[in-house]
Amino acid sequence: MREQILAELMKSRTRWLPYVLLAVLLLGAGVQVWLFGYTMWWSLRNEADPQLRSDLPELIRGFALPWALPALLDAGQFWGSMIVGVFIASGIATEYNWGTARQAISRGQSRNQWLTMKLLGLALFCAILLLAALAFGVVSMLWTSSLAGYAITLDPPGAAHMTVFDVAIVILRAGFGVLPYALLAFAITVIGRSTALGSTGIILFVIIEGTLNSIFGALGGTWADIRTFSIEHNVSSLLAANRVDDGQYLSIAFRESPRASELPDPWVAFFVLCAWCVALLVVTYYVFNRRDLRLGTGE
Amino acid sequence: MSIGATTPASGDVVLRTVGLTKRYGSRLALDGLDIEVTRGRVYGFLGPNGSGKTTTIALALGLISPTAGHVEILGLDTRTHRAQALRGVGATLEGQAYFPHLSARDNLRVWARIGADTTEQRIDEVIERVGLASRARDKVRNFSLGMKQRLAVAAAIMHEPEMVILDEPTNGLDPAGIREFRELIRELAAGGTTVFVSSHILSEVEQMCDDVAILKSGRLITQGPVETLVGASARASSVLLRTTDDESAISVLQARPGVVAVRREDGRLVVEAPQEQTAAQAAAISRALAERQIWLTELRPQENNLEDFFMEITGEGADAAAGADANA
Ligand SMILES: Nc1ncnc2c1ncn2[C@@H]1O[C@H](COP(=O)(O)OP(=O)(O)OP(=O)(O)O)[C@@H](O)[C@H]1O
Ligand SMILES: [Mg+2]
Repeated sequence: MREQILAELMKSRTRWLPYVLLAVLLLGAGVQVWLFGYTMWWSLRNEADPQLRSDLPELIRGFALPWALPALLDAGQFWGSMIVGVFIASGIATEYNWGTARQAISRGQSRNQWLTMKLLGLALFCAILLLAALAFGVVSMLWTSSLAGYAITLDPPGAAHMTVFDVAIVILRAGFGVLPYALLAFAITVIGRSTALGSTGIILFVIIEGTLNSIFGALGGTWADIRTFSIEHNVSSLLAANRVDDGQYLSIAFRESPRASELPDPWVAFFVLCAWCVALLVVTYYVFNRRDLRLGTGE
Repeated sequence: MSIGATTPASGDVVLRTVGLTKRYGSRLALDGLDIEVTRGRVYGFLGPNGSGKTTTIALALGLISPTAGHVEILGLDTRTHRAQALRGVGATLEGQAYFPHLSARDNLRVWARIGADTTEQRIDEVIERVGLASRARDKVRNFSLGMKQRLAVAAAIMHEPEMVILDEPTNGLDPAGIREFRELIRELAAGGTTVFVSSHILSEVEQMCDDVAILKSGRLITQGPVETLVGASARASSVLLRTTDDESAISVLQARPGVVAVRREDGRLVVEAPQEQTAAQAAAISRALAERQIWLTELRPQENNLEDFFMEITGEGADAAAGADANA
């Protein structure tokens, strides 16, 4: 088991794709914390107009702990889901194309084993990428806070108390929000065998799901209830639970800021998302077990 | 046609297919195949393009599922013990099967990790064995076709399996490579490894195999020791003649001892005789005809080799057209 995971890491480690994706994630974290967070605060700081300068304490939340952490995770969940989706699609489809999936199975690995190792290996690699981007984001927060001469604390006056344990929960909630999308990309690619299909599939899904949910939300009534079954609505609920308060929330995710009052209970959301994950896994394993594995066709 | 087809004599069967059948949609690619591969033998699986060789191997390896029938490997039914059975097998498949972005050695390391234990030392050993030692650190992406083929063979033998299954392994190899490969096969067999090798090149099979099965349009034509088949084809040696008077020539020749049969073919006469007598026959024939004032305009001994025999029983070569007609 350990050996097989190591084999997975060996395959991913020397590809260039994960590093490109990591760069995109780091860039995103940098844009959110430095460009939108710190630069906006900094440009207002020297304003003569006292009216404008009264916004400064609010703008601090764009880069200072604890507020900036859930917001960064919000953006990370949104963009991270798609980036992880692309990485997973490529990780699976290339093994079909290289003929290495066939080779592994012809060496006595069972199909379930192959899929599971693939999933765990890719998940581990994705977790490393996402955590690296998070770490970069957090370091950026600490740096910008000290540049702004702002105290670095999880427990500033006037904000809800946040412990280190809370930080772990906040990270886990956002990470869990990536999982259904990762499994969706996994399912699409195992079934469709193509990187292009898996990547565009997951990106289109995120865009179309978000658009439909806004439309349903605007229509209200029964329409709005349909959203309860979507991944996005429930992920938003988890992200809303992450928020420190309802004040300034700066996230570069292309969607409305989550508000707990408009979203399902986080526990309900958690179970709906679990149902999505289980359903996607069942379909993926079922199809792969019944599938004839074709020849390697080239890179 | 029945040409001394014998099932390999008793002994330990390491691969057996039982009524193995595969349909791709409406195309019947494999039709009730029954073959037996005996331990320690080199078994040639011969057939023209599209005859179902790769399909058979993919079925044995559990990559595709049969429409009917099943495969037993090392005495285990692959329907229930596939993974266990395949631990004792090493295989190369048609098409590529490597990580292009990894070095040759790292490719083998990945296989070592997911399969039976293989030490670093053993990996070096097989790389050396297949002649890739100087390129072991290069990315496989940049390998030539033959080098990739060598790597595939290394991957198949690295864990010292009881049986090696090779799908057209000499594709892309240069003459020296083919000879080295033949030596490797002999070495494996000498070490007790059973080798199952598919090919559409008869001379190759003739040179390195103990047993051979011939496949056509998904059906087994014959199976047996190579000598038996060579013997069967050799019996049909013949002399081709053109004469000034075919009618008389036929009656003269039919009366001669040692002549098995005389028939007309494409404006020539074909005189069939046991192979060991054809040279003597040629001289005797020309003298006998000359005595009757029948003159030869052409005389050509024709040794029916295994190649002709193969062509004869499998038809024109590629099965592509035949396969299409065979669709039910
Ligand atoms: N995935 C597939 N879908 C449909 N038909 C297929 C598929 N794979 C193989 N076939 C058909 O099955 C038949 C047997 O093919 P197979 O690849 O087993 O032949 P082969 O003996 O290995 O030929 P070659 O010498 O060219 O490698 C062919 O008619 C082929 O077209
Ligand atoms: Mg083939």
